[in-house]
Amino acid sequence: MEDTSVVQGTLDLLILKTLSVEPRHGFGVARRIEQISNGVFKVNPGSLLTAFQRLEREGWIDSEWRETENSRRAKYYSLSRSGRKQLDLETASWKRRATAIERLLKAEA
Amino acid sequence: MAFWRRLRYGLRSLISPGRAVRDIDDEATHYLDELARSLEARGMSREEARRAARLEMGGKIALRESVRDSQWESAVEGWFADLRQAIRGLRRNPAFALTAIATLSLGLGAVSAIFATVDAVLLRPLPYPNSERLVSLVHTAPGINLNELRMSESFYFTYREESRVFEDLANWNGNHAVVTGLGEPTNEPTLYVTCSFLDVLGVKPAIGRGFAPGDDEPGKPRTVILSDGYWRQKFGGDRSAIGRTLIANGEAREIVGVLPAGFEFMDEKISLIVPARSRREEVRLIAFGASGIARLKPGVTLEQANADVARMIPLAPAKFPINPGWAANTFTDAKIAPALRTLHGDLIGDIGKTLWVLMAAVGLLLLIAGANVANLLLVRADGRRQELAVRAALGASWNRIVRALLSESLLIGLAGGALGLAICYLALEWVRSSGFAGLPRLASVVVNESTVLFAFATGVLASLVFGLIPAWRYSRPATTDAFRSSGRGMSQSRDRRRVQRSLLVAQVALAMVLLAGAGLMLRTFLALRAVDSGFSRPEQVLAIRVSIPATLVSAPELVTRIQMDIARKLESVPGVSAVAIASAPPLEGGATHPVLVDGFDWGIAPLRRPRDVSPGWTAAIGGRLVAGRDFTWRETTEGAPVAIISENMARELWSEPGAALGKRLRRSVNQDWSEVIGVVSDLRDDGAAMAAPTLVHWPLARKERGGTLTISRHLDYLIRSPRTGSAAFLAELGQALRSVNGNLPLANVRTLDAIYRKSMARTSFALALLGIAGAMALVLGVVGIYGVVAYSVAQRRRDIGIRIALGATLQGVTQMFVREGLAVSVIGAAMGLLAALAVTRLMQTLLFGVAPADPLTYGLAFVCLLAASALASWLPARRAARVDPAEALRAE
Repeated sequence: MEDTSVVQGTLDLLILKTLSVEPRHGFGVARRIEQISNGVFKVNPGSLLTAFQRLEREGWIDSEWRETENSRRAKYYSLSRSGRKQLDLETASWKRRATAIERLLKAEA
Repeated sequence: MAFWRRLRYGLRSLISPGRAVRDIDDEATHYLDELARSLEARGMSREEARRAARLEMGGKIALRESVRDSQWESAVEGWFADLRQAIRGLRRNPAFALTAIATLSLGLGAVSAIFATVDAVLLRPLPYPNSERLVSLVHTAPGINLNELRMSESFYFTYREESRVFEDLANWNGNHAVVTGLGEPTNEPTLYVTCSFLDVLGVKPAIGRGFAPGDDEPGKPRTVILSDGYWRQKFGGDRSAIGRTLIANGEAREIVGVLPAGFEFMDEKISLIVPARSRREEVRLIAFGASGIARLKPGVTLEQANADVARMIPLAPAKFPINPGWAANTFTDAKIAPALRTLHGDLIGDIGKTLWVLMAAVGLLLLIAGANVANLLLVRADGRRQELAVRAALGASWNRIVRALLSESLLIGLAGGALGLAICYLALEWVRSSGFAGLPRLASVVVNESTVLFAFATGVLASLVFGLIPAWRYSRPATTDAFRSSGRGMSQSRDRRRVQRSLLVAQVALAMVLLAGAGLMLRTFLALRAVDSGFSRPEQVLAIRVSIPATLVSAPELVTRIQMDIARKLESVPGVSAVAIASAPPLEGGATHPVLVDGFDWGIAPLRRPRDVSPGWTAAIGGRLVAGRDFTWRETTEGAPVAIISENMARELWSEPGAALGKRLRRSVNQDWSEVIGVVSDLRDDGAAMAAPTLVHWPLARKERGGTLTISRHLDYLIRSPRTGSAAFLAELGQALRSVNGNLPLANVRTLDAIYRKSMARTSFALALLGIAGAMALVLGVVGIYGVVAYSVAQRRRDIGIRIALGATLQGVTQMFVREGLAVSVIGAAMGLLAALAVTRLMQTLLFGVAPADPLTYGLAFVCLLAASALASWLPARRAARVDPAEALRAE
């Protein structure tokens, strides 16, 4: 079976990035990650909800109960100002590390 | 920022856990619905889609828990749940809970009370700014065998002019002043000080001003500062008191200031502070009537200060002339040397040793109480073996079980701490109000935040330590064994008994140490009581101080006349059997002076305890006239050249009391000789534990060479009567006094017995506390032994039944169990004996007339402990012997 779990330590980054476009509810975020990654990443609901709690307490995202387009109540998350800063930080950090790994892999080849 | 957010969110979910749970559940439900819908959209049937979605989500509860577990508040909730369960557990076993809490609280109460005392007396700094820089100016004079020499005016001026280490210094002297003009005349405790006094302490008056330099110079207006209490009492706290005039000892003084509330100094009672006047040019070299305090410059050590004082002492003779009539070399021969101490050290003296011994004693008591609680917890955990096994079988982790067990002991610790605090509060109230402890700084011994913190912290610590013993034993129960029920898991129970017995041995050993300590204090107390103090029936002797200020009666002849009249009037009060006047009652006459004896040529005459007395002194205190005769009133009031000495002085100089009669003494070379006309029995004037000083009794008045009469205006009247306790008697005495002169205040009324008990206060205090600790230790030890034997009997009913069925006698069965209890206590007591031998040596300074290794005390404590434990094991053992074999066997 193919490994569809999210790369360790990147779930926060993926959530922040997903929310940077527009506010979404939990399933919306999971869906989006799956779609954009072409199904490479599948998010575990438990980890996702836990991550939301954590990010909210860090002050990076805000939450709000709202009506959905099909008129049901759902908890919408949006990126806060400090969340945007955190996203920039984590993006930069990820890029730096990804480049380094890429280089290592090439060097071995 | 993030921290506060986390805290806020966590608290919110703790306060309304239902909402937090609902929030997560709603979100999960929505997620599930959306997931199902998206699956359905991909072509699954509704049913299939829901099942697949649920499969992906996992259980709802598991999801909720996994989300919540990531947050800090869930750990708190876990603890709360444990505590709630522990409360339920304790409420189901009230006997166990109450016994454990009460036992622990006794130990905690005792420890907290002593801690509060140690904290207030020894540890807390004095209530002045930078109080660590304050020192008492104390000296020694080995040349005249004086361990402690305080301050003189000559030294005050010398240090003031020459010192390199003092920022400032002051002399002070506690005394009384008669205040008139504010209602009834009263005798008020008054501090006579140099003007710098309050500045040295760093205290500013609450209203008005302090003394200004020059306030103590003759010719300037006289001033006075009031204590807060006196100001409120006499002026109702009226600020306009400043500037008004107060008459003290007949002198009008302007009130310039009021001290702050709570001002304290050397445990002196203070109503007034007045500047003591002195003219520098009139100061003589040797007059050590005062005490001195100084504030060291920052960074100066006590050693440096002592060195500087040692440098300054030889400078004094060049500045001040020797007292008239004294040999010029007296000063150098006295070999005066500095012995400064911190003001705090001077105030508390050597009470520290007593307090630390008591702290150790109550610490042991707490250990015993803790061991008892641990034993109770063991029994309880044993009873819960099945429950714990079920929990473990259901997958409770090791630390969950430890937590559950510890929660109970934690609760016991907290409850014990609270109850212990209450006990501590009551004990301190009692000690403070009874005043029997004789402790310095007693007024500041209160329950405060640090006491509360200490009580709870100690309670929690003790409960955790002692709770860990059963937790450690039972956290990994042998599951199968426990399930087999009915407690026939012999190995386990034997194991438990071993732990229990070790605890018991420790308990008995500690009890032995405390009993030995208490026994030694008791022996000390009895030895002190047995000492012939030199007076008898002290409870029948009242001492009353009456001062006759010069402004009231100025002529010395008239003063002595009035003093005699007062004594006569007091004598005529019904029930009075003897009256005497003296410069101080027994045990309160601290000073010593050199006395020259005709025919002896000492370099410096040995010091004697002087006391000015009227006729009847010996009769009033209940001593004996050994040889010669008493003074007459005429001799006493006219200052005749006569003296009465104590038996030990007569024996020292002439080896026989009778031989002293007719010999001659004098206080200094420019006085006439006085003839020894009587020898009286010795008096333990420095307390029962100290050797009796050699005494010289002089007449109340003294005739100088020029014919002038020197008198004392402040004297104590000693009245012997069986009516001392009654208020009516005191009223009659007051009437008798006023019939001589209506303006004389009665002050400082106390019985000789009170003075005597005060002198033994420290011993009584240590005895009371060690006695209580020892008794409690004995009771706890006995209860422990009873418990263990009773438990053992209950466990072995079947065994007993078989034995009895096989023909064992009642006596044999009883003996078997008594032996079991005794074995534990013999081992414990023997170990305690060894420990006591090592530990009681620390008590040496508290003891009198008994060695720390006193065999009688140890033997008695040992026997007492064994007898108690024999009884404690015999009671349950007797029950064992009454087991009906048929019934016991059937019960299995």
